Amino acid sequence: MDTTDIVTATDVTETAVTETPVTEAAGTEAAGTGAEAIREKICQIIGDELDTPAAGLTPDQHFRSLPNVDSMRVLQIVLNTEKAFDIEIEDEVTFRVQTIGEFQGVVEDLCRQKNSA
Amino acid sequence: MPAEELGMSTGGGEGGGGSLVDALAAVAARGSGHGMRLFRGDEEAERVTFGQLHAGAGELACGLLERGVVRGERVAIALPTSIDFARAFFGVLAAGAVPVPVPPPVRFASLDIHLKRIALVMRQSKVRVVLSDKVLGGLLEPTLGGAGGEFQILDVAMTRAPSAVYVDVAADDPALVQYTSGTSASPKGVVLTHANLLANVDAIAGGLGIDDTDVSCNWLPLFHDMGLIGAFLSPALNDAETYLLPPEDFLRDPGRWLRIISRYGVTATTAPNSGYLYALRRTPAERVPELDLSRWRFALNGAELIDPDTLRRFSAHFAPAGFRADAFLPVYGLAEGSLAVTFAPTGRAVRSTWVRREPLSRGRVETAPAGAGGEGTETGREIVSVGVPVANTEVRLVGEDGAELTDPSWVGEIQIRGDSVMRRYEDNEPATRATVRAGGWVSTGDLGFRQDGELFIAGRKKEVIIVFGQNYYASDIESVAGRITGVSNGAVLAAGMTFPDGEGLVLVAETKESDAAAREELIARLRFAVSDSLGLTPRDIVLVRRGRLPRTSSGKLQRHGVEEVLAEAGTDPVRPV
Repeated sequence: MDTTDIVTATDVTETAVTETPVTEAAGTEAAGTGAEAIREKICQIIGDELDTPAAGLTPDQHFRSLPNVDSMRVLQIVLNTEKAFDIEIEDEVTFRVQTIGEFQGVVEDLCRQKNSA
Repeated sequence: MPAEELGMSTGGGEGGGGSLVDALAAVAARGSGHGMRLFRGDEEAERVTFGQLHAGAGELACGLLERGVVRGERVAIALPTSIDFARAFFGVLAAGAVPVPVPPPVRFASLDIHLKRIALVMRQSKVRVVLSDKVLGGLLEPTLGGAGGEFQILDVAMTRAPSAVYVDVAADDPALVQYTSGTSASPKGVVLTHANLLANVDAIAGGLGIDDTDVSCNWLPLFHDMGLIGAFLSPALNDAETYLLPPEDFLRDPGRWLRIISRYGVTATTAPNSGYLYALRRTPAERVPELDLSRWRFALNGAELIDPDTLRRFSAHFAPAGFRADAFLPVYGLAEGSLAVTFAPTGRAVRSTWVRREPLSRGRVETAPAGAGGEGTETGREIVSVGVPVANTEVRLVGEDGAELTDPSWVGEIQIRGDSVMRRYEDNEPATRATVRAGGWVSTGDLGFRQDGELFIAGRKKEVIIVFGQNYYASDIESVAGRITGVSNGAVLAAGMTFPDGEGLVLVAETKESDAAAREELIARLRFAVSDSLGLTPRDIVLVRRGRLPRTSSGKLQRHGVEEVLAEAGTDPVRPV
């Protein structure tokens, strides 16, 4: 079977991969540091990166259940979160986290550590 | 016991001269000062000369031998792209053992499922010792290691001994087990010997004319054949500067790769089509003049379907930086052939041919007018030549009846034979029998045709979906998705489809659910199951009614015909088809 030339009608367009250079990616404006503000900002970053409404995201959702997840977008979510909160998320953490809530918890902890330093 | 009695030496390189470590010793002895550099982001993070790498390999080998590793033993390497990976690879070989690279975990996915997968391949190879580092080792240790654990997880930095030892091996001894499929019950690990790998490294260097004046820079993962042999062994064993960038650094900002190429005068790269496309899309035109890509001689493009339009767009976009279109080199290869099988001739423009789509889908090659693939017509397809076999490699095309094709107007299965080609899979006689044919010919599962003596890839018979250069087996995906509640009788087919940014996975599943909400939920469950266990998220999931998927006369699901089902299903997965 030759499947390579099948053109499928899906909603994937040229914009599926962002043309924006990383340095200008979303999440660079100052983000709030209250727990609620952190959670909201993270949902906004995830929603923007995955082209999905942030309002529909809940803490118990697994990242891998969300549409459009791939290794590039996952890294972009990590990068944009680091920029938004001026924190560094260790590689190891990204291998352990599975849900949005777990990721929010990690970021909250890092923000607390940063503020108490 | 003196080293000599065990067939060891302490200097390295004096042995038979036919091993990868001997080849590294010969490079080290040249004393050029060349070596390997690891970049993190835009900055150099670590470097080692080939002499130091050879010395470090002997020290690690000594540490491994002290821990009871024996000649021929399989040792897993669970390390990210790093100088430590290079040390571990050559260290295991210097101990006379055989490296088995395993992939790192998938981000934001189940660690548990990943550990089960790598345990499966490690068991297949009877691995006892895993070389890792603090971070990855820390993830493996609680489940796979520990006191009384199935595997001994070693930190490569803590395993070196003060003195160096090199165990002599034969050229025909195994030097690598490269797993191509790891989620099914019987993983397929390609066993490659020192002679296989050295033949391929020579064929690559010979085909390109690579020498010690070249500089390579690559971000391909090293646990995979294209990264390991194309980006690491080939330049290193030719004494060419070998620059490595972790794949995650490239994915975060592909501009890093281009800036290193520019700043250090890199001459050779290897990447899949999607990698070049990603770099193209993420580099705004106004940034191009900041780059100097004029010394880039070889941009090898392989592992995926090569899109001629990507090559043209990339060449035009980066022309202001001095990139030359004839640097693009379409290549064809696979793990079963070590890596390289065919290369387009160097120093000429990429060659392509136009063929009619509809006859091609029936295996017939009919010329179409150039440009016939335009909007609305869809009659023609442009296919890029991947050239001619590399040195000491034979390629033949075989028809449905198993006989070699002589008529160039038919598509045939590509079979390969030669010095770089594997003889067997690791401890998997059924898979070996299904792949290695009489006379040493190995079935590739890829389909191709010849024109003017050059090979063109028409598609794949083998059920593999390639996303960003990585191979996923349809049967692995289907076995995960078929177990999901709501899928009728496990009836799921996985197919690779072409999207604007490369190949993507599409799933078609049978279900009796007709309620829109229940169908939405089933789609979410399928997406999660596949993404969580394989790290690959379906781009599209289509639900169809029971019995709708194509089947053979005996009722077995068959992939042939799935495209018609997809075409009929359209874009609304919730609507019952």
